[in-house]
Amino acid sequence: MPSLKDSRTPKLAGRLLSLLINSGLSEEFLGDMQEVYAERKEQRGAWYALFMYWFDTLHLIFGFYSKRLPKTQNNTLMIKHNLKIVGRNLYREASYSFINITGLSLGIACCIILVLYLKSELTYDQHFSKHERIYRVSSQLNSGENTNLFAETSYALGPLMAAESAQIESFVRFSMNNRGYSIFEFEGNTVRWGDVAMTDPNVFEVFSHDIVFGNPETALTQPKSMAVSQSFAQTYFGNENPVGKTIKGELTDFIVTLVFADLPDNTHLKYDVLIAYQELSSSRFTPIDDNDSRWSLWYSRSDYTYLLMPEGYDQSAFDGVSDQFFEKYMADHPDRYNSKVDFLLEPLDEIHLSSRAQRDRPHGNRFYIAGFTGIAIFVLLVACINYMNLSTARFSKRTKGIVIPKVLGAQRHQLVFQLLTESIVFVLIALVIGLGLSYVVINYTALNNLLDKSLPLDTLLFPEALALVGAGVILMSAAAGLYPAIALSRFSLVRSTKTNNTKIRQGLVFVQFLVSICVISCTILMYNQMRFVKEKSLGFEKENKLVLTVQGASSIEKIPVLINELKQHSNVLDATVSLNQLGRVTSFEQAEIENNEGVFVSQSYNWFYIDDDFVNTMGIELISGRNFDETIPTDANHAILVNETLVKKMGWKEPLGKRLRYEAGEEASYVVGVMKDFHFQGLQHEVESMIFWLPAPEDFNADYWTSRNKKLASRMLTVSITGNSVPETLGYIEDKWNVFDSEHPFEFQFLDDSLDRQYSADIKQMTLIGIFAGLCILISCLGLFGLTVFTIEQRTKEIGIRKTLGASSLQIVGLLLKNVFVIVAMAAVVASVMSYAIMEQWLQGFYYKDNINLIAFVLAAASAFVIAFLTMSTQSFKTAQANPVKALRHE
Amino acid sequence: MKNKGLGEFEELVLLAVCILEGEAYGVSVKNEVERHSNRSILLGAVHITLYRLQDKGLLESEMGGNTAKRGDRRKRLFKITSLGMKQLKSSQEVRQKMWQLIPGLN
Repeated sequence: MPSLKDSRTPKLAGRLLSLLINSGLSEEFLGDMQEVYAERKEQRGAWYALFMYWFDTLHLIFGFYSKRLPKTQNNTLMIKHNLKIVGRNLYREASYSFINITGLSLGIACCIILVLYLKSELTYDQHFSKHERIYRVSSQLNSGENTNLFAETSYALGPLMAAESAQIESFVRFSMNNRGYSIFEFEGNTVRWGDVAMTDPNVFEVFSHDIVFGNPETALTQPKSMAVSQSFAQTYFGNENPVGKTIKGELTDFIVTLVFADLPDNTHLKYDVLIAYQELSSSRFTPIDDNDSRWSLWYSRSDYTYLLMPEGYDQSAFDGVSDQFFEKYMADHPDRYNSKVDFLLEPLDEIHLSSRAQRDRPHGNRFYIAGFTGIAIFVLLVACINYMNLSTARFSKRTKGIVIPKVLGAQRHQLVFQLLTESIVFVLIALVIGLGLSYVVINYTALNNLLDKSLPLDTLLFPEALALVGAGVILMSAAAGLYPAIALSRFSLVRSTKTNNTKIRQGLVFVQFLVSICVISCTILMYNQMRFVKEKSLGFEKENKLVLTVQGASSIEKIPVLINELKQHSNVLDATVSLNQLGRVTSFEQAEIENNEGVFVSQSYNWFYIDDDFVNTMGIELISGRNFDETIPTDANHAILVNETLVKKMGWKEPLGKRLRYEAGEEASYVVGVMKDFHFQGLQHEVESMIFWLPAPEDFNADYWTSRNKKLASRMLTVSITGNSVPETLGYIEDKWNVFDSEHPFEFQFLDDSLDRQYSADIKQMTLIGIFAGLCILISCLGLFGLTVFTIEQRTKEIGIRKTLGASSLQIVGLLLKNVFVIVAMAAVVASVMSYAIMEQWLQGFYYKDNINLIAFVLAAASAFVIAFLTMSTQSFKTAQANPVKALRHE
Repeated sequence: MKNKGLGEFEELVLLAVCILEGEAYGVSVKNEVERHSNRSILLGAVHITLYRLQDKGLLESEMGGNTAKRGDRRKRLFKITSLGMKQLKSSQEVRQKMWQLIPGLN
């Protein structure tokens, strides 16, 4: 039986065919081609089949499209004649044509790729058919002057709130696996999955999915049932229908009840596995208004809650719902915790670009959207300018070809039409090459990695895009061809030869260099900032730190033994255990903290569990007080270390001994030491106030966990090693690890690597902008080269005369380069100002930033000069050194 | 319509349509011609020829059944017309006559 995948023929080709050939014919053609495709794929492989499919498509299109063109009308005759002339010119001026078309197709390819990127970014989550009615609830804590917005809400919020307002049609919760992955096994095939969520059974009703197998209405109504993505299903079951099969999870078995098509890349909440919420305790499923759920409404924010609202819902009406809800369920909040909580709605399709919530999936960045749009327009602009420039130059050389038809009685519109035909043909050729180029780049280069998404080219085939392309072709041909066409056809019969539109062409070169220099200096400055971020001292030593994840309660209990053994090795310096990895997740809470006057005030902060080795292992400096001491029993859970920021925030004169409590009457904890500030998040963020706790020793005791949590518990073990013979040390640690925990493989990261990854998004964007900068320059150079060749050709005679009259080669070169250099210098000045403004905007995204280094502008300008010089010099020198006799015989 | 005679490829396609008797459509004709002539043929060429022959009135066609193999698309089934049969026969006769005139063959 042919499986689903085998019969998947290239969509783009298919659509092209049905677009160009009437539907009665295309049906049978497509059918035939599909049959042949399957056959060829089997016999000669996928590549051959693909190639031949395309070949057949084009063959059929040409075969059947051209048949319908009328052949004998006068107009068509004229078009044919024009096309013939275009063909001759293309051939005769091959190098111009080459430069012209190359530049334009590069520009078009860039533009296509960027348009695809933008389309994907701007249509986030719009594939859900009800996306306009779905909102995410986020919770905002207001305590004093601090407000903090969180994407996560309590599991109890959805059901309780839905009962509160009749407008809420339904709610869906997603509880993501906090550990970041889950492992599933089927018949010995064990795979680790990153995006696993528990969710309500009505998820498929609210969020539309393409269902491959199974019934979405009943899929998640039973405990231990799971819905999986198509790629999940294919990993374990190939193309079979897996509904009803049992998959082994870490704690329990699950029955697959549904397979949904993979989610597109542009969705903010990605998952491969959805597990029935029923798996969890019933109180979680239908919470009641009791103390537990009231407490959890703020303190256990574990889920993303989405609400389905009626059509045309007025978002501001939700403020009332939020207040009413707060009054009813959280009324004691202001007294007990000195804070108020607001619930806000975020429209589903705006989350990716607009949400400011913390503890969320990665967000998009509007700056880059604006930046890329700008670049797309710039690149195309530069390419168009090039095209106009070269065209005017070329056409003005062809005055004879225009004047003679005029003498012979050609109407002006006929001449304009002829020049326009040429322009349109060029643009169309460039369009085809540009499309091909972008296809190759998208499918066969690392671009998709760089963009973190796959861009299917056939999404371009929607009506708006086609209309846009059509309009683009007309506009571009007009822009590039109309001016020269009209200007040239206006030539009076007498004043036929030496008219050149130097002013306009110089203006165009100015704009090109303006854009290029601007992009170069921005790239340099971005690179500077990234280096600054990487090299800035974080306040702790990030080098040579090995981070290991210890999983399972029984292993956690044995950590001290492992540390002891590791320390036997002379290259292992120290080791520390913490709940999470530094720089990854911190937990956020608020409590009452004593101020200078001895009064308790509410304050929010990040907190972190560490042990007494943390300060030494990480190389953090204590500026006053002492470190935790495990021999002092009261240290556990009652001593705290704070950072400088918190001291400043509280305005403490004497921080040591200051107290902290969650509620009045509770036994307070007290500050024993102050750490110098260190950056525990990326440098985009300011250092926030932070409190460190020492967990009680019984936390290492396996009895402490419930049986459910035992397997899933985890701790981070950070080992500090010397920089000497690292591989050998790693080998040693691996040996010890394998004895320590035979169940989990030895997997480690270096702390500095994983910290650098925080900037990966920025580095990727920088690389992209760098690539486009290169392209901008390349296109500009092509234009400049063409222009130089043209100018020189026009001035050959002048140069010859100057030489005979005694000018040196250098003087001649100077003469040729002078104009362009003045233009580049002007462009450099304007570009510097522009990029300064742009970079200031970009740096707003970083709390810690390098100064804008003015050398970057000098560098950018200098490189533009060098490039301009190199582009023009070969031609100029060649001409300047040529024998003047040749020049004088020119023409 | 002027009687222009058949091209070589047209003749092969016509013959294949006759052989396939009611089952002739793009792919089957392509396979049939390939099998007998031992050369590889472009699908597009077959389609173009089939339609040309239909324009000349030598073939007629109707839309036929769909199969999953074709992504649920119907195929166009070609049949030879009486005019087509006449042409085929006449071109066969022309060849036959000329063969017989080659000296030394009989």
